[in-house]
Amino acid sequence: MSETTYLRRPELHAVEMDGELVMMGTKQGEYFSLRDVAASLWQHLDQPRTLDELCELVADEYDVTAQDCRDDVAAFLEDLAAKSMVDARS
Amino acid sequence: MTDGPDGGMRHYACYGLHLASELPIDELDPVAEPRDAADVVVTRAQLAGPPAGASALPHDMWHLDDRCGFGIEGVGRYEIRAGREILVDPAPGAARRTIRLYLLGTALGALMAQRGHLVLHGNAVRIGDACAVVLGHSGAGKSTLAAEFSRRGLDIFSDDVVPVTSEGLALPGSPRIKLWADALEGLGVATDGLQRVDRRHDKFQLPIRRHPVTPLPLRWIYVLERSTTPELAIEPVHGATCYALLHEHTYRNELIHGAEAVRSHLEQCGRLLSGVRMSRVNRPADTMTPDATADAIIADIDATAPDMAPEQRASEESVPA
Repeated sequence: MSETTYLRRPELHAVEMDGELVMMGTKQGEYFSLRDVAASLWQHLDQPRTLDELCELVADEYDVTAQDCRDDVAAFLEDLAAKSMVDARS
Repeated sequence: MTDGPDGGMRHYACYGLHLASELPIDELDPVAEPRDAADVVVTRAQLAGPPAGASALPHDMWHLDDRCGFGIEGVGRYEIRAGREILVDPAPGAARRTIRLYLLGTALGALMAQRGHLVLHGNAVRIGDACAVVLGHSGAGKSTLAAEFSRRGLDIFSDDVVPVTSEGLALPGSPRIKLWADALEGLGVATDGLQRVDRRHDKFQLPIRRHPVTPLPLRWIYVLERSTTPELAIEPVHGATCYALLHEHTYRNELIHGAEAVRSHLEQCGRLLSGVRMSRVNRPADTMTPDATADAIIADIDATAPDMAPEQRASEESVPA
């Protein structure tokens, strides 16, 4: 089984405001804001990343182990994929 | 049918631009001595509708590169090019004031967006050396509120369409407010002698008196909303909500089409929001009055502009008649 990589949609452009990343979603007029770990993950998704890589990046930056954040990161990716904000490729 | 005996151009000022127009535009301020080159040229043309390859947008609008256009049944077709040109193809027998209504509204709004401005659907009012913008959907009471501000001696910047530059400056438009007959009645203004917006609507052009106005920094944005609560309340908004509200109240937001336009709109909003306090004005539907809303907004402005004395709010000199 080849590992799934995630890449953010290139047309989604974000701006920073009050420490948050704000972007319009793929639907007209629908906006999202990301902060903290979510904002950091979004920055890392500018190139194809696997779940493992993303967990390692979070563990480098935050006081958490890759193992402990895995469920949260996976749920976040699933959420982004459901909103068509990332492309998942196997 | 031609406008102007010599077919010559007429010259006007609006939003700080010099417009040369083949069509007379009574609603704008004429310019006595036009400069050599106009910023914007309005001409009559034969328009066939969307060109090949154009993206179709809602409300019969289309977009292609630096051009966009739209058609209104029984009124005519309009095309706006590169922030410099507006072409108008009137429908046979269309009323001139209705043709101008769309020229000054959608067409000029789209042109200002092409010129790189964030074009908001609202009214701007001068507050000292800055200004506040009131946003809201059609029928929310923006124009009635603008008339109330004007009655209190504040200078109204523009009605319905407020272009904001990338430096966050609101640009002054024509000194008129479009009001429904019942709103005028509520304000105690007789409709005799006022020009109708067009023959199909019970809406009138109310000329307003104001000081000469120049572009001013936008400091406050208020969004008029209906609420089910009994009391009128002003609630500050933050983060993504600001963007969603600005998108919702961007004039003809159908035209924010394609990744590049979305990116540029987002950046315009971001720049604007860095210097602006944005709030929702939640108004109970059955008891709201322009007077109470104006009081609440002025009180909020006073509370959030501690360095400004209340008397600085209103204009110091008297309004020239």
